[in-house]
Amino acid sequence: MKVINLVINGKSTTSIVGDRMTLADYLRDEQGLTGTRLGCEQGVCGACTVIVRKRPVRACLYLAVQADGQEIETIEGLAPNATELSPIQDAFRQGHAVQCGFCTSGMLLTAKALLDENPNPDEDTIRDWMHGNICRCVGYQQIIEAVQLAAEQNATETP
Amino acid sequence: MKLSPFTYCRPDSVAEAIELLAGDPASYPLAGGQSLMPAIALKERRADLLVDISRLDDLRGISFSGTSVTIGAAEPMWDLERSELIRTHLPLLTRALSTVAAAGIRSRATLGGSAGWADRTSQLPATLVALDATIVSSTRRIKAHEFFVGHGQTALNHDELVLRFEIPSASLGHHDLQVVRRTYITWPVAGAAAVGTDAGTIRVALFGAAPAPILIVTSDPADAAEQASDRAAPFDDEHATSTYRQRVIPVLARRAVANVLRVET
Ligand SMILES: Cc1cc2nc3c(=O)[nH]c(=O)nc-3n(C[C@H](O)[C@H](O)[C@H](O)COP(=O)(O)OP(=O)(O)OC[C@H]3O[C@@H](n4cnc5c(N)ncnc54)[C@H](O)[C@@H]3O)c2cc1C
Repeated sequence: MKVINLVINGKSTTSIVGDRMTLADYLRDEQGLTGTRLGCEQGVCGACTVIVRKRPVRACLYLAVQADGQEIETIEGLAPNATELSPIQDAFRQGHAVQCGFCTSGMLLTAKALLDENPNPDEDTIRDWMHGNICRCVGYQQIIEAVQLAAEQNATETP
Repeated sequence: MKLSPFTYCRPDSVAEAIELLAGDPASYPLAGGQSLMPAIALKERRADLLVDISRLDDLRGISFSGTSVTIGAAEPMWDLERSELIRTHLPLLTRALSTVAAAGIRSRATLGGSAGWADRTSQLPATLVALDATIVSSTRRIKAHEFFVGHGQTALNHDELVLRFEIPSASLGHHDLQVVRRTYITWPVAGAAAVGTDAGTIRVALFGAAPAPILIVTSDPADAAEQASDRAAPFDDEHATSTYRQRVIPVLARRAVANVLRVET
């Protein structure tokens, strides 16, 4: 067991965790943040993606103890409040980029990390980033288009 | 698919890390965890002790000496991809990195971990061989082409760490990378990493062709194909058959060399 200090969606927390607990299990079972999905648990599907230091990471391959001292952004931290959506969430809604919804948290966080680094990515760049997240409903086209929509909205907002 | 029990520790120095590794035969260095964690989850590897080396200063950093680029073993691929220094002096490495897995894996995966894992289908060990990298470990210096011994096998001892890579600048940009893969987010089937040298020859290293990268030094595409065909020791895996690999490997070797030549003329 180890003591860890994390900042999750802007809130500091201290916990005692077992050495083998993954960040994904920690977020879901200890913090009740079940928006982080667990799919394959071997790094392939991307459903458990969270953002650490502006980077999308697989929470299933990251031990909670390894994350000690880090700031973590999960899907629960995306919307500004209980009634509004963040721009990328709104683009997914407008673009019908959600089917069963299982992959959506990971998709949104990967897309957010991309748009935060590069507000106006071209289609190739979007595909290059998003291919690490698997959608078993195969709704890829709408997902790519939703990220493009969010990028276009970024472009019109930037003076 | 939960992880079986192990102890995690994060030593403050290379010496301490080595002492911990030496004390337990079922201990492993933990870098990005992008190969080790899945292997533990899938029960392909059992570990009693994981020694987290990812925050050790001695294994971090990217610098240029005038003739070679030094890359810390625990520097995430994410940072290497974005390094202007690497893009300028080792454009082949930048290109190879962009084909590895996905952004959400490269965010944590390291070059040291890729070398330590030494997968026979990985594009990175072959790229290090093509670039004539020197691997600096906690006890010695060793050339990449002597470091990779087999599938998942390196020249490293159990309590030896890769500290950094020293890679001669190949800034002229004469390089090529051939990668065959079935879909994204899977390991390659096979490929070739090639770079022109000052001596006018081309170093081409093949992956997915044998248990360890095959190095061919030549200046003739047909010779590259012939040597690739003779030296291939292809294998079956979930992505392709050995028959397919035997056929495609000479083609990739020839194309890679021809493409480097085309840029040079
Ligand atoms: C879905 C998925 C797809 C992938 N696709 C590809 C791909 O297309 N191509 C590819 O090349 N890779 C691929 N990878 C693997 C990825 O690149 C790995 O992260 C990398 O091979 C290992 O790096 P790591 O830092 O995560 O190492 P870890 O997993 O932490 O360690 C790997 C091994 O190296 C040892 N090790 C780590 N650092 C050192 C060191 N400094 N000195 C000595 N030993 C050390 C560890 O003990 C362990 O045995 C993929 C991984 C996943 C999960």
